[in-house]
Amino acid sequence: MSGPLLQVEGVSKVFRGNRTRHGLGPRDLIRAVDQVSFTLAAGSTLAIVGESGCGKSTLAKLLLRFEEPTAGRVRFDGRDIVRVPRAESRRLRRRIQPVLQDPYGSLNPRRIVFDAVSEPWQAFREIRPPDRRVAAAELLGRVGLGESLLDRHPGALSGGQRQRVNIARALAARPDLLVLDEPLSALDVSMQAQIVNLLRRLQDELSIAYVFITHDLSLVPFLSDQVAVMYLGSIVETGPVDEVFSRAVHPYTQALLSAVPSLDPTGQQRIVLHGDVPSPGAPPSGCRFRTRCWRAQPECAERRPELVDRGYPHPSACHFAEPLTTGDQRART
Amino acid sequence: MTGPTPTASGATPTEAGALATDASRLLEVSDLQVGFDIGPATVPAVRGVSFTLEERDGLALVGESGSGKTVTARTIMGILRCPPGRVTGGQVRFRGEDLLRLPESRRRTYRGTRISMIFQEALAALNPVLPVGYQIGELFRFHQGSSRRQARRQAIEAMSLVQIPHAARRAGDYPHQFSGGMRQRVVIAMALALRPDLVIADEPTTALDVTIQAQVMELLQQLLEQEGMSLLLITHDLGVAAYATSRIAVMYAGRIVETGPLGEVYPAPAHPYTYGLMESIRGRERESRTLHAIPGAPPDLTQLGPGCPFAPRCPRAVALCREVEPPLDPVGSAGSGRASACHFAAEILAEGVLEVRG
Repeated sequence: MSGPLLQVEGVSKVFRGNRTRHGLGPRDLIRAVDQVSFTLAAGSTLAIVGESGCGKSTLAKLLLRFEEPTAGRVRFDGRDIVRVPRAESRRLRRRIQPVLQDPYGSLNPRRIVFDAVSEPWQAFREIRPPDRRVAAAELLGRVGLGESLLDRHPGALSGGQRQRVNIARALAARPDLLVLDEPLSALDVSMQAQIVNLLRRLQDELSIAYVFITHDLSLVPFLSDQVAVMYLGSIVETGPVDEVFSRAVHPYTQALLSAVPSLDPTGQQRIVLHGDVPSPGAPPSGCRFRTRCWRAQPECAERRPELVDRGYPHPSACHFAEPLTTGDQRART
Repeated sequence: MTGPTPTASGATPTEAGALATDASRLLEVSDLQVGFDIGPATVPAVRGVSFTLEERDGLALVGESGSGKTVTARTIMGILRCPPGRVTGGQVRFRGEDLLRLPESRRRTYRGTRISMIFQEALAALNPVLPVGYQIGELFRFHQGSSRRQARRQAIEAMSLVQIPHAARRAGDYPHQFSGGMRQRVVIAMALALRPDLVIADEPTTALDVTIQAQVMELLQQLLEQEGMSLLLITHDLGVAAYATSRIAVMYAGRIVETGPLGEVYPAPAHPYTYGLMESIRGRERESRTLHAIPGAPPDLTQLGPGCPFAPRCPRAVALCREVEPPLDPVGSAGSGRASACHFAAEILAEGVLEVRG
């Protein structure tokens, strides 16, 4: 196959307001994901970063077909994942597997580890039942767990072990793409490092592609090739991780990077953003970030900046995109 | 209790002479031990923790889940659920008075007025069916006997102090009508309302987004300084600790394993656990693309052996480590206030941890 493994083309997801939440009625539309496009090559990783409410988890659900897009297309291996015949849809589902945030909530507490890991084989009718035990033991080995855990219940496992079981279960389906939605957020620091190293090793061995969704920027460089920064439903800046992290040009990315707590606060230029993220049900006109932006000009309220090349090596959605200067810290609003 | 308990020998030089009552010291925790009665067994959650806080001081208790940091905080605050929790030893002296010996009625006069706490989950810390202004006002009515009208005015003042926009209007709103960051400000307003001497903040920003986290930490920092309050910060995040305090105490398996000024501990840790923890974060700021990871998992507290609880994960462990739990002893230059609970603290400080990666 040639061409990218995953192509996301102008995907949007609009939810209708629910009167009981957020004070938005059924006439209010919430653009959770707004015209998002990206591609992902086989065996590589795209990190999608952003804060709560930026649409990153909705995007994950669209990739996994837990939700269907309101507009746009998700192509996997060249085929639109929503409009494929039923039989093929099953095959596609096998090839895209989730690993979710909560290692406690994503395993059935009443079923043993073997049941969890062998579930995909049952669902996709693979591996003869008598062979499953050996295959499951082998998978556990791959994720660094002992065979003895097969008969344990999730309650007897630590958070790190559970997340390894979740990864083993996802691998059981022999996927080409893992959608990792905050896979590290519920873990302690020392466990996070172990899981990151495990995911990297698995990618090297099995050349699986990852969409790695996270709010924690500090881990992104270790697990990703490309990064896309989302704010209020849209990508505001995207490019190779090293480049975006060292020379971000969108003010939101710059603020996000500077807000990561560092052990050595002296060498850090800190931009503290004021105010909250606006409601996605009533986003600001023009640029959605302008209400918190220290570079905002009248133009920002009128024209919404597109995600295009702006004279820097990678695209950004800001009329005034430029690398951080010392003046920015003082000029913050 | 298993293992030797570090009392005077385990205290840092500055604490060593202070076992006698010292009323000038804000907080002095000595050899605190807390267990949880679960079935027939007692799980030792805090196993001899000692530290001190002065006026206008700050200390971060850093550790991973199960290290005993939150149990320590809740014991100081007097909100540990007993049973199953039980203080099995030690003292918590606040301006010389042992809080653990006070009857609950006296204890209550400390909570909120002299020691207050900021919780991680703002939503759980607030009553969902009462307006936030009313909830803040209750503090003034209960502790200072303010009238409803006075309390409302004081609540609005407290909300303005934490920079909640349109405080007067928002005082009538319910917790769910606030964003996460604003809700955390309400919780901070409540903690600071009665001008306590000590604020215990348990993971105050963990539930918040990074840009909001920076806002809230900056605000908290500024208010503590302005009001001259001391901070005991409980966190798993070394970055947050570095931002808020100058002194840290790293906890592991219910004990402090290393303590000292952050500026000295960060460049040269004197305990392999601190070293591993620092590396797993510091590595992130380097060019290297492999993360340093501490192998294994924290021990099961019900099955602690006689030795150092970190030994099974430690690259330097020798036979001695599996037999004798090291006390928290002073290390480094005299007067630095540094201490480490490792048999090889001095060597590690001098040479760094030998990497034996498995």
